[in-house]
Amino acid sequence: MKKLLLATALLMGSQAAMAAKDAGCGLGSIVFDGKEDKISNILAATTNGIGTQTFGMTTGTMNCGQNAFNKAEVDQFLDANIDKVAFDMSRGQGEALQGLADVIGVDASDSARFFEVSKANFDSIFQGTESTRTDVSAALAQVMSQDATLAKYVL
Amino acid sequence: MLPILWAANLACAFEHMDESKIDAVANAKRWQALLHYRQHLLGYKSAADDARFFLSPQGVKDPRAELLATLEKMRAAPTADINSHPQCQFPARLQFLGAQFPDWYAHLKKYDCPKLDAWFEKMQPQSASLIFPAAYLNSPSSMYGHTLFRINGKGMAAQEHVDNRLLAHSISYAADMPEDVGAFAYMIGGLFGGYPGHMYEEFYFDKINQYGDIENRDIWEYPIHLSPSELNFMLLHIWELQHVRFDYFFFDENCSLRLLDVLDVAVEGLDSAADFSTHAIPVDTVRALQKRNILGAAQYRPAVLSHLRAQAATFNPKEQDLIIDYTFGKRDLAEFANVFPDVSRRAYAMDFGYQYLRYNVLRKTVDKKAASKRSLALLSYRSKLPSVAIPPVPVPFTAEDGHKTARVALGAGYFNAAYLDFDIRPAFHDLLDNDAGYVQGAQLEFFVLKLRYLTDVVKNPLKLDYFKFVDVEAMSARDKFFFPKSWLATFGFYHDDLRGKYHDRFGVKAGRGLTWALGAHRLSVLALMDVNVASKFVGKMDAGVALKIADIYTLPIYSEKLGAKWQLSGEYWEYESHRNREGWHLAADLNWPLDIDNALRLSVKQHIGKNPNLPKSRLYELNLQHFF
Repeated sequence: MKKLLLATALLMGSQAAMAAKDAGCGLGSIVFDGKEDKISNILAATTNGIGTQTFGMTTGTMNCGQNAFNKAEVDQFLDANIDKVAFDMSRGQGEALQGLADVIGVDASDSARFFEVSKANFDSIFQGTESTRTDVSAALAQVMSQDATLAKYVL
Repeated sequence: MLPILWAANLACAFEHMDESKIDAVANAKRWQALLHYRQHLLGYKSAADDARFFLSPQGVKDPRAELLATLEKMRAAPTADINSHPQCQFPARLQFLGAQFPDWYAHLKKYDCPKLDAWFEKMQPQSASLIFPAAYLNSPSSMYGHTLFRINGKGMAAQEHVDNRLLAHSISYAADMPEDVGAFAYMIGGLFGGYPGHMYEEFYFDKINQYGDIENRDIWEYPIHLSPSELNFMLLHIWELQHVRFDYFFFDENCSLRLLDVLDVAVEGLDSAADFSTHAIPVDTVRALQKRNILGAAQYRPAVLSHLRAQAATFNPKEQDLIIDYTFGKRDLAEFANVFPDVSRRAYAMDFGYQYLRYNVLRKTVDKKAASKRSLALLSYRSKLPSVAIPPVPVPFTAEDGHKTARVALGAGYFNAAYLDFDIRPAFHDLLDNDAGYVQGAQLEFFVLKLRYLTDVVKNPLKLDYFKFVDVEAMSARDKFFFPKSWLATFGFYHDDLRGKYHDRFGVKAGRGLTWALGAHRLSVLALMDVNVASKFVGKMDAGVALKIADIYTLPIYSEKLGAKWQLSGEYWEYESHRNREGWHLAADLNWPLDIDNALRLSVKQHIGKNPNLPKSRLYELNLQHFF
């Protein structure tokens, strides 16, 4: 009987290994650690996600506060893509950084400057692993407001 | 009777509607597509499992009654919330009927639909793409791939006509599955009962995060050739489908077929869903659309893992060691300057290093808190180095470049006496099949039936050799950077021929282990266990344990696309009571593709049993396999 029990246990184990986990549990930010109200917590709620059946809904998420760009989409985009945005800022290029530029509304003619400025000021934008998404978007706005070309995109 | 009733009930708008026109429209393919009707022997039934989708109580089964009810209810007085008026709920039907019945439409009082307008304003549809994430064995809902739409518009961008695809919206049809459902439960439920399913709208970046980053699936993106009016009509119809429940069946009424239904609505005469009656495998639905010339060339969006695997080989062992050691916190960031004296190369290594670190966090192979500190330190350092390009991943064969999904095989063999074999497999791929277009090391088979005709038996010479419901093997290879685990699971009915002694058994088998890639070899070591139910066993049940070692060697023949495979494998089994099956089961198999859809397979098998009374003999078998 021992083999039977062992085999059954193994089958159950395999079953668990195959268990349907469609939504990406655990995609949190890796740049930031998981303290209360930090980005990784916000992420846990938004990226677990299955979309919406209600197509008419506006894009804003519930706890997207006012930011210096006055666009809820900026928060929403950062929530889902903060790891990629940080990566792209560090190397001054990439699809996620272009996406952020588009969400903010940076003109195509200014995007090279946006890439350059965010790379040069990486340490000011991502100040530490305790930073929240709000900190990042505020710091980015601060950095942009000090740049002659990019200041016009900040309120 | 009906036309007279209508004439009495309805005002002048219906004057010119004769019965023949009503019949013609009720029978029109477009109308039936809009309501998702399927024709059966006894009539029609809609695939929608939701009363809200119909305006007539008979609508689910009666296209004509639904048509008459729609013509009437589109004229209804405004509702308290205008968005719930039939004109706002079913705008594609309204547009279609307007073209069919111009007089009716001319006399119709039209209403504005603020929510629908707001949705179009948000979507700003410019074009649409079919998105095809490759197969993913670790989720039963995606084992043979998945398809969804991407509506390319300005998405969430603040500007008009931004073509950053991350910001676009995706539309998909998915089952609403309880989170904790297991693979087998899912399959059984999905096969017979169905799960409720709905259309979902998500940002494309959320889909990329899920498929490309977490599940490590390459994504193929096909532009769909649609005229502006077809695209508009498609969106109107997708709007109609929100909230509507369509029960999800694993094989036929699945994500991919539902999308074909939507395209059949959008493009008059496309009729793509008609190609599928029993099962719709995502890659076959892609083929059905390609055949109709509605798809453009595929764009490749590699998963992060594909990026990493492609780049890992560009580092020498010393460089690899540093990247791995930094990831796991064993060495300091400062060492990058020593190992990579050239700043561009250092930047390139750090770009790789960050992605590798992130990959490990998502796989939970590194402590998240410590990793977050190392990530930020790495990015901060890297931001002071120059920008360098990340080289593109070589584009692999697309799924539709691969062999077709169904297979039939004819074989002849010898095992004490000559026999003939017939083998049919509706889906999909085994470890020895040619890999182009499929995930290497991933086997997924459904409903494999093998019949054997024995030449030395006079009475009932035709035997069922086996029928496997499902047979999955995930043999991802490990190396210095990546360490996936291998596993397999299968269950079926088997008629074991142990040299004249037959055993019928129903068996479940599972195993776990490791696979390594060594050049063109893939070596696997697994622990296997099975549970068998058979009338012959004491207590009707038996269980066995085994060790399996297998090596698959692939060498390209003719071209990169076709590879011959040579497998040597050995399994040593111990059982509680099925003693005749104990011992070593050795096998050598050669799969030789003739072209993409035909192959020869030669097998030699030897059982070295523990029972000395069993005669030793060898099995030889040659199969011709055809994919269709």
